[in-house]
Formats: sequence, structure tokens, C-alpha cells
Amino acid sequence: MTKRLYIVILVFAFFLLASFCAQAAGIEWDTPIKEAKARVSAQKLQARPTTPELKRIRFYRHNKHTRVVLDLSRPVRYSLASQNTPAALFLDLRGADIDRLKKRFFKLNGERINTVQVKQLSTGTVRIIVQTRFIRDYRVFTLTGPTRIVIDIKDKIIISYKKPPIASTRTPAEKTEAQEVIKDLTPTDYSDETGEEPFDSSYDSEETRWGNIKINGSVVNETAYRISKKRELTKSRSTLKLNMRGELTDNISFKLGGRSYYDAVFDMTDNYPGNVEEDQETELELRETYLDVSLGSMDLRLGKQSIVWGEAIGLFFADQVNAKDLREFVLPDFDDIRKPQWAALIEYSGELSHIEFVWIPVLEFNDYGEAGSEFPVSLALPSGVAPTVTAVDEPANNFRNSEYAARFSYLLGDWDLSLFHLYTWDKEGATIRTINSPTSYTFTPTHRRLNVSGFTIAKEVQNIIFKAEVIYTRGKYFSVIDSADVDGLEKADYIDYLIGVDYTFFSDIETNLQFMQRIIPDHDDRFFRQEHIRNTASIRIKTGFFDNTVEPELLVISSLQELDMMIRPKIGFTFKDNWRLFIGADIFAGETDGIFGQYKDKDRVYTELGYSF
Amino acid sequence: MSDKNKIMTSKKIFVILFVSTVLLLLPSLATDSFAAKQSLAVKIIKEADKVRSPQLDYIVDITVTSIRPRRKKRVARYEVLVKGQKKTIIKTTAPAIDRGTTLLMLGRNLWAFMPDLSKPIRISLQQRLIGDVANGDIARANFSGDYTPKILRTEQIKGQSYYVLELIANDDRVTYGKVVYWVNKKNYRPLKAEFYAISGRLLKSCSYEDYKKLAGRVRPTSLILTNPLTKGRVSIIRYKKMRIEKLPSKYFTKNYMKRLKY
Repeated sequence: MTKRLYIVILVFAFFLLASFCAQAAGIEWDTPIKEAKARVSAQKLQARPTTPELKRIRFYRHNKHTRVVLDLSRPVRYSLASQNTPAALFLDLRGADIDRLKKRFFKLNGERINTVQVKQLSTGTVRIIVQTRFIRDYRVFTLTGPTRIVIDIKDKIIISYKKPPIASTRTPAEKTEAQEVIKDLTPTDYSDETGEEPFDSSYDSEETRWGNIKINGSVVNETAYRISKKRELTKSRSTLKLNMRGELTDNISFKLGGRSYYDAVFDMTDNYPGNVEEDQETELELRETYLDVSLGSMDLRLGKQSIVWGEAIGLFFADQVNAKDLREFVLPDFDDIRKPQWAALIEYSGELSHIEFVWIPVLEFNDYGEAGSEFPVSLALPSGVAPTVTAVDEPANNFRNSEYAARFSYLLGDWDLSLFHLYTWDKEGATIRTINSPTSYTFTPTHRRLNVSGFTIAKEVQNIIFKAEVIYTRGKYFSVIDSADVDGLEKADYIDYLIGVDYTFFSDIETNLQFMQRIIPDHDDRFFRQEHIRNTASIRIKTGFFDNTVEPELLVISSLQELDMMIRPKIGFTFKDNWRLFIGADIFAGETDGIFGQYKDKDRVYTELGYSF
Repeated sequence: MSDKNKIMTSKKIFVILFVSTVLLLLPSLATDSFAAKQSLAVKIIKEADKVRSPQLDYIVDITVTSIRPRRKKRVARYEVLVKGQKKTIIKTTAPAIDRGTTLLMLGRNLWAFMPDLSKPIRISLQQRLIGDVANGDIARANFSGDYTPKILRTEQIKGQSYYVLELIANDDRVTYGKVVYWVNKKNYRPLKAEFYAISGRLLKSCSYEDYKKLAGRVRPTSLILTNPLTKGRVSIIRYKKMRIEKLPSKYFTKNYMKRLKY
């Protein structure tokens, strides 16, 4: 086994161990750390018989905060909540006693705190209500010897009422209601007091939170079995995806994503050669990892990211910014096919308009299946010729070679309109051919600059969604099968367009129909697998039974000129809320020189079992 | 002409004039009465809307529980952001398998952002979120604007007096074709509603329950939706932690959906 495999197994083992330990200990992950600490301390306290007593409340004013100190006879379980209108902080002392507390209302009228009130609730809880001026940052902590709970109301204002930004945009009626709300609101107005049932505790363990950081992810096993010609296992891949998200400030947040997989088919069988095993057995990869910065109507995203454009379903079309991992053709989820790229994305969001600029300094190109893999890439090769493929000639990462893209979107009435342009590289690549002898060719994959311009439209009419995409690509080099040609490449621009319709029948059956056409005006009959005009159509039907816990789906993509088709039926089962199982098939039909027909011997059935957390 | 005849003629003229005046005024009186009733109906649903939700920007956590006979109940959680009457974001926070799925509703236009697609796609209002709960059930807490109201009658229920209104959808893209709505005469608190398709078929009934203080006002915190066609099939929408908060306009744009924090 390789070193990478050990890393993958270690990560899995760690994750599983952590999950089991957490479940065994009954830890409620979804609770903020403060509350978790409070619960732990409360559990310890339950063993002690005496009632904690709130003896006194003291106040101190510092330069940057005002401190409220609660003197207690012994540690007490407490919980915190806050509200915005009016700004107040609530501290609940569970099972505390205030019989001997003489003063229960303090009118400070200070620059940070207006009032502090102590209330005995019917449930045996003592509530401390700290009504602040404006919504302020705060911290609460405990001190021992003697026992105290300290509330620091900080100088930092999170939201100010001094100049309510809503005032100018609200109608007089709305203003009246806002005033009523502030006037009407009593400190009893927060969810605990409403007596609502707590959320279903079965979801408490869904997402791990460490303070401000949230972690989620999934574990998925995909097993595929080839059913055409040589029947055998083609895939047994277990994938772990982890995402960590958090906020550094109110305006800066981050995401850290990773993916790791191990495909056991290479250890369980000898179905694939060593180069494929090397390429596809294991992977440990940084996925979307970026920093989000919000500056009013401007937003910045810096880091490894996927930038997804277009309206089409089940096809990439305008979705051309990121490079793609096509080692399994187009069969995986599109999110897995897209390769996140290091980029800077600047966006302006207006009421109806949206403008974005993309700069990609680190270049990435499509990945294809190697020779001998289940879905290898094809070369423009006459029969009887032995090919040699040399290393890819990739452009260097420098400022000059950077990729740039821009998009302008506008919501005009009910019309969704977008215009975009990419100054990019041909991520698919072109293969320069050198003829060594009539039976020996050398191929050198290379990448050239492309200019891609396009627009997309979507509109809803009578519950029918109409969508269209048009893309014009300049600078593409196509492979040609002609031994007389110098390098086996010819340059030609082309146009792709798509028209699609979505409709839901009987509120349950979602259908999507799409028609696509590629036109190469300067088409040459020598082009490899490219027609002058290629017409393709797709249909996708999906429905749900038993509250959508069983979801059958069918996707068919087919050429309209000849038999060249991909059929993808699948059925999804959701159970125990976080588990999902897919059972499906991928069927290819057509001639061996067709886009889908080339894999007609690769028909497969598969299962995909996943757990999300 | 004798005096008697003169008196008779004057009487006749007076009667004719009186009847003519009444006949002339009747339509306008009827119109005024209709206009007054109409304006009262509008006022009632506006007041009832105010009871159901703040007419300001707000965020609310919603739990939808779907109960089916002989099946395990399903619970989904959403965080709903509302700006004005026309802009709503529904963020799915649980179950984990659906987390990250976001719906954006701008007027009658709807977009969905699915994490596995990583892009917003336009969808129709017909597509459902969970069980019998339509997107509109969660996204819309206002009837005014979407429906034209008419007072049908008043009813006494458990010692309380209620207006019974008929609301007709202003266009066919509204969630329901017709709604019959019971609103308390005294405090405008909604009691129940019946939702009908354009064809007139009763689709579901809704009961507004658990009135508690939420965001500064006593509001219904549970909506019990029952399906008349299937006995025991119930969806419960629970509202919790409603907070009034100024929300930036940019949140309510389809291109911002990928940036919404979960």
C-alpha cells in the first residue's frame, strides 16, 4: 500500500473513533461551547444538595467595558440569550435562590447599560436581564473563591439605534409597528419564555461546533460493477469529505474543505494496470478553501474555489470557469467533477444587477482517464497505429498567463439575464501529433488560449421555466485525422447553444427537457469526432414517494443525428434522516467513435451509500 | 282644479320625487356600502398579517414536522429571512443531508441553490419542500397583496366572534387559488384557514395555534396543516426565535445564495 493510503486510513480511523466516542458519551455537538460547559458544570452540581443563592450584584465601569458581578453562594448552572430589540442580554440561573436579595432593579442609565433587573420565574429559574444601549458585544465568565458570574458589556457596538438605517425606507405604518415592537417588548420576550418546545434533539449531533467554527461533511461508499462484456467490479471507493466554516469577524468568514478517498478495487482485483492504480487508487485533496470578505455591496472571495455559471441542468455548457476532473467521464456529481481553483472573485450585488470579476493566477486543466482505465480519453488515431503520448505541455503559472473572467447579471422583470466573457486556456487541450512512421505517432497534449463569450436567460411563465444559453468560443484547436496535416490540429471557432424547459407535473414529477446544438462554421470533414452541426437533446425526470424518501430519477442524453446515447436511471432512498442510498445504472449506446458510444462496453450498475453529518 | 285635487297632485309629485331620489341614491349607497366592506376586509387581513409576522425585516427559525399514519415522523429545520413583503430566503439547516439547500423567493420568482449543483437554478412555486408544506406556506406569512379579500359572514366560535373572509388569489402563481380565513373580530388573530385549488378542491386546512409572544407581539407559533384527503396526515410548522433585524438587500439576490452562511 502506498503512503497516501495510510494517510487516508488514518483519517478515516480518527473520524470513526471520534464519532463513536461522541455517540457513546452522548455529547450534544450542536450546542455552543458556553452552553456545553454550563451543562457539564450543571451535571456536576446536580450531585450537590444545597441551593445556590444570588447574594449581591455589583457594577464596575471600565474604559472599554461595564462589568456586572453576580456574587453567588456556590456554582450555578446558567444559560445565556440575547435579543436585538430592545437590546438586552438574558442570563438564566437555574434553580437559584434570590430570597435574600433586597434590590432587584438597578437603573444605571450608563453609556452601555440602561437597567439590570432580577426576576424569579415560575420554573425556579432566576433571570438577570441586562438591558443595554444598542446591541453590544459582551462576554460572560465565572470566577471561583468566592463564586461569581461576571458579565462584561463591551464598548463595541454591533448595531446602533442612533441612526436606524431602516427609517428612510419604511412606510409610516411600518415605523409605527417598529416603535410598538420596541415599546411593547418586555424582557420576557425570548424563546425560552414562550414555552415553545425545543427542537427535536435528534438533530443535535448533526453539526459539530467549536465556538464559532462549524464542521460538517459526509462519508460515502460507491461501488460499481460493469455489466457489459467482461463483467467485473470497477469501483469500490470510500470518500470522506470534511468542511470547516467559521467567522473571523462580522465581515470576514472562511471555509476549509478537504476530500480524501480510497478505491479498494485496485487492491481487491487486478482489473486495471499500474498507471491507473497510481492515478486513481487514493487521493487526499484540499477542496474549496477560501476567505470571504464582505464590504457593503461588494464581496471578495479569495482562495481555492468553484465558480459556477449557467442555467443548464446535467450539462456544463456555460459552466466553464473551473477545470474538470473527467477521469470518470461525466458520471460523478458535478461538484466532484469541478476542480476548485485558486482565484480571486470580486462581486458587486445591486438590487437587480450583479457584476463579478475573476482572476485565476494558478492554472488548472482537465484530468482524463489514463490508457487502461474505465473511461480513457480517445486520441485521433487511424487503426493500426501505435501512439506514444508525451508529457503535457502546460503553460507556466505567471501573471501573464493568468485567466480572467467577468459576468454581468440583471433581473429584468421576471427575466434572468447574464452576459459573460472568459479569457482562458483550453482546459480540454489540443494534442499535437508527430508522425514518426506510418505506424508510430507521438502525441503531445498542449493548451492554447481561448476567448469564450456568452449569455444566459431564464424566465418562468405559467409555472414553466424557460432557459437558454449561447456560448461563442474563439481559438479552439480541433484534432484532425489526416496524415498529411503538419501537426494534426486545425483552428476553428464554434457556437454552442441550449434551449431548456422545466415543468413539474401534478406537483410531483419534475421534468427537464433540453435541446443543444454545436455549430462549427469553418468545419472540416477531417475533424475528429466533430460534425459541422451536432444536435443533442436531454431529458431528466424525477419524482418522489413517501415524502420524497424514495426518489426515482432518469437522465437521458442523446445525439439527434445518430445513435449516441447515455441513459442514467437511478433511485435514491433517504433513511434515518442522514443516510442516503442510490442504486442506479449508467448505460451507453452508439458507435465507438461517438461521445457516449465510445464507452458502450462500460455499462455499469452501482450503489452509493452516504452518511452526512 | 279643486284644492283637494291640488293637494293630491302635490302629494303625487312629492312621492314621485322621493321615490326617484331613493332610486337614484340606492346604487351609490350600495356602492358605498360595498366599498366600506371591501376596505374593512382589506384592513382585517392586513391586521391579521401583522399578527402573524412583523411587517419589517426579520429572521425566524422554523421547524416543519410531517406526520403520516404508520410512519416515522420527519422533521426539517429552516432559517427564514424575510425582507419586506416580497423577499424571502429559506435556508435548510436540518436534516444534514439537505443542509445547504437554499430557496430564494422574490415576488413570485423562485430560485433554489443545491450544494451538489453549486449554482442557483430557477424553479417554479409548485415544487415542494417537505410533505404537504408548500414553499409558499413557509415563505409567505402575508395574505395582503397576494389575495383580494371579501367578508363572507361572522361566526361565533367558543364564545368569540370571528370574521370569515374569502380570499381570491390575485394571479395563478400564488400558492392557493382561494383561501377561507377566520379572523378574530376583537384582536385580529387568525384562527384557521382553508386552502383551495383554483378548481375549488380543498387542498388543506390550517389551524393557527400556540399564541405566544414572539418578536414583541403575541403571534401564532404553530400552524397545523391537515390534509382532508388523508386522515392522520399532518404537517406542523413551528416558529421560534423570531428576531427583527435589518437585512442587507444583497442577501436577497440569486448570485449571493452561494455566500449565505450556514
